[in-house]
Amino acid sequence: MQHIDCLFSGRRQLLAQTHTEEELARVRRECVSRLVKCNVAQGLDVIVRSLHDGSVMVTDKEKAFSGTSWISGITCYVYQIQVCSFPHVRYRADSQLAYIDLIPLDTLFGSSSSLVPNIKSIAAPQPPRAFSLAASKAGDGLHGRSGSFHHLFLDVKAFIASPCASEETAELYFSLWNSADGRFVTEEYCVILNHLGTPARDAENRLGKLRTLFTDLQPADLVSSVYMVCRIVRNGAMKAKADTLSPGTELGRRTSTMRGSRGNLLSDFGTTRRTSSVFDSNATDDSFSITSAFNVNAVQSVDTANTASTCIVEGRPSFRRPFGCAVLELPQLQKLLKESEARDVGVEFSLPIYVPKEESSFARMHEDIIFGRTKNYGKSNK
Amino acid sequence: MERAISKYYTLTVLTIRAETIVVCLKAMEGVYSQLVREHPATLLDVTRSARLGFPDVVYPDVIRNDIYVKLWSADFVPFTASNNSVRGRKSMAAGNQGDVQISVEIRKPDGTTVTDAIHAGGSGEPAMSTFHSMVFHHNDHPTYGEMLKISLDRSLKDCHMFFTFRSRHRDRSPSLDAHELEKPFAFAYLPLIATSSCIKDGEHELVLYKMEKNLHPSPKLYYSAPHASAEDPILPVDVAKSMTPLRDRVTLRSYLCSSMHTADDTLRRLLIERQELLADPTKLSETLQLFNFVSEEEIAKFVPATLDALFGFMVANLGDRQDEVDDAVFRALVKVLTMTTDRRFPNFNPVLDIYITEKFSFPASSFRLLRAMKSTMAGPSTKDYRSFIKVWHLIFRFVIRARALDRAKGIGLDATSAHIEADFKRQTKGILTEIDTLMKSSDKALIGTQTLAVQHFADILPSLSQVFPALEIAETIISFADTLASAEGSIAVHKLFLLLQVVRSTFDTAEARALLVPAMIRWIRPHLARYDSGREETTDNQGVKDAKKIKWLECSRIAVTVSFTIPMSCQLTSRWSRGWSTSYKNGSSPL
Repeated sequence: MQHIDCLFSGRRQLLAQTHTEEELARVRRECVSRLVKCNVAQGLDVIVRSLHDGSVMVTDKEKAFSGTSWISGITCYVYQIQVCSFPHVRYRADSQLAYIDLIPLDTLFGSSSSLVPNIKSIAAPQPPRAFSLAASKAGDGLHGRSGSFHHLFLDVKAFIASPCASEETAELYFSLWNSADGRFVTEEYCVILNHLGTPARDAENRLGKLRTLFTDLQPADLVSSVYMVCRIVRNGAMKAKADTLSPGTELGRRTSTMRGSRGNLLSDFGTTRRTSSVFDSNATDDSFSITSAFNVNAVQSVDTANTASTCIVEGRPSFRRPFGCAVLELPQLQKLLKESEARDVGVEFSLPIYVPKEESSFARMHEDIIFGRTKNYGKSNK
Repeated sequence: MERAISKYYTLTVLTIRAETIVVCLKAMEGVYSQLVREHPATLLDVTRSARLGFPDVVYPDVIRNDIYVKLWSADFVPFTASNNSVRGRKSMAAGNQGDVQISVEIRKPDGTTVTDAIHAGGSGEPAMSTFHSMVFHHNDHPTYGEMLKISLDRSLKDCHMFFTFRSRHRDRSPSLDAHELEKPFAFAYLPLIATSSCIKDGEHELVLYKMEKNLHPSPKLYYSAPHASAEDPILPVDVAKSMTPLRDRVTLRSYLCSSMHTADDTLRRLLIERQELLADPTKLSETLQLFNFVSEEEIAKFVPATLDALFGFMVANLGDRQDEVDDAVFRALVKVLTMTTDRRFPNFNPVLDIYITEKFSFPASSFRLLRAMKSTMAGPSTKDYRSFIKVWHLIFRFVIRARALDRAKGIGLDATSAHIEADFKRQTKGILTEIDTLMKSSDKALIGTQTLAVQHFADILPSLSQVFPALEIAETIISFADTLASAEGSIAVHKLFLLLQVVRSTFDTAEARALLVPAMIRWIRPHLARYDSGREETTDNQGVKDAKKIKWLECSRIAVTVSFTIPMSCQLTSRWSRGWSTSYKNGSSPL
């Protein structure tokens, strides 16, 4: 009964003409396999059908009229046997997809040498490794789906630090580092933030969307000891502004600057966030509050209009100065994949920022942090 | 003292203000374009950060032309009285070394700047025309570790990097105005791409040249001075008048990631200098010999172009040198095709498929390939032979595709084309007979080659079926498999795998089946017999005995699979088929 319902809804979908070509193909496949499943459930004969349009496979080339697909009688018979002999196996395999769905039709119509790769799974237990020649070949065929790689999606939620005074910017460079090979795997994703922690460029549109996708990674790139490295560069005066003022006055100055603007509740993005206990609460709460903090700042950044550029401001030189580095060891790829699957937004991590005592070690900081040589670096949270 | 305090102070203040970065990570798997469709909310318009290097074989339609340059470190000779004259007035005015800012731009040979070519880091922020490095305070040997991505337009054929060095010491005296600070004290350059060369991956140590007053360094001037040198460079006389090399050095690391330029000289010569090579067959042969050393990763970027070049040499008319060149081309071809089994390049096969079906257009190559195959097969104990066997199904695909193109071209010329067709079939058969001869040889040294031949024999069947009727293929299989009657060990195992594939692929016509079924039974019968313990020699220890027994078990298991597959593939609805299925269903697994 459930099958009938599904077929009806499938029919509606096909007639509705609201789907794209690919979706249509998927619906068609599902309907065809449903059809076959119905027949099996009723104990009727199994007819081998094309998954493309549901037409009956014809074994006689001459009789094949347009719209039907031709396969050889033998292969057809093989399919029929497969479908009939082991229904219980198929049922368990995947109740969504029908029996013949498990046989990739592409290999059938292509000039592939092994016409029925799946038959092996019925006929023989997997041969042991040393002799698994045929098996590995069939496996390669499936693996050869073009361009299938791993990708890592990065969403920069919050930058909880205030390295720069107003009109200065912080540049964050995210990349993946393979510590086993001692090399960077990807190019760097650069984010430039103003002193409020909001994007320096196009803040209205980019706020909360500081995202990148590290694309086309090979499995070997992510096998083990892969780290996300974030280098932080401050762009501003030669010396950090703060050292000319005592912390107290600095805070006061900052607050007073902000007083004129709207939404000054969260004006000290960096400093207030530090003292708040948000970070001690659990992960979900914390991600929410951070995003919201960003949003409040969005309103504000329009006012302050801090569009600091990386170039040198005429008359008032600004320099790019080393600031700090943060490192995160990525979890095992499979684990990360599984967790990503479960949660739509991804898995949240926070990376402590280290600040070098000697700025000359800046370029190699990430390695030092990874190998635990951190005694030369200041780390906060106090 | 005061400085020490302020330093400490800076530190504490900074540390308090640097806490954490919060990120969300999500791992994904699949084809990029498909992922974007599946997750439009997150991935649409998202910035892509590319991998350093191509992940796989490059598809013909992918265009990427990036050079990654890491501004690694610099070495500024500190100011002393002795090199006063070298460093010059500017340095003295600064009164201090270090605090150097490096500015980078991309220039064309005429000295104009290429706009928007540099990306700091790689992705995320818009491109810029000039990049300014970090400034390290009071540091004569700064290590920058800053990455630049230089994205080059396809039309740009010649460009270089131009560096200027400024002392950015925070001047205590306000008398020096901002403009004064902008004057660089030195410059350097690094050629990136030119028509006949390309930057080599790796480290480059550049010489800094002093920026004299009123000197406008133009490429015309500085190109005649060396850009990199460990020792003090020697300048041509006329250039030396206007340029002074400093003892300062800057070190860069570069990595080319381009589907348009190659840093490999051999490959470039094959791809670009085709005419020159054709005019000089000796040089061509040498280049082809060197091709053996070209890394696969480099070839992976240019698979279609490389194949085009190789086939181009094969069909060229080089007179009596042609055979020699052909053999070298053939070896190169085998090297390229061997990448099909390389785990680093899962996309090789799709790219090759596209090439063979859409791009390959060398109809004249079929006979040349056949000839080269034959000549390779003349030495069965060579490594060339073994490499060839591993990819011979691909070679056959090329041969047959070339023949098909030729056939399509020569339509109408019945007598000749029939003759050519017959000749082609004869030669192809000749190759197959050659294989049989190899298999019949009882030379112990050939066992490795023979095993490979058995392993890969089935691979060519799909190609052959395009040319020969099923019956002839069945005959070919029978004559090949009959040479294996007495095979033992791993050859026996591979033989059974071969049979398994034969059953699956060539059982479609009744005639072939009629011919093959009795032969099949003949071939698998020995493996289904009782384990012959009499064959064990008394001298064997337990380990050897076990190994033999395991091998026997393995063979018998595959043999069972084969025999189980045969009735599924044939319409033998007889007792045999039913017998097998019931015994399997009853739980008595064939083992």
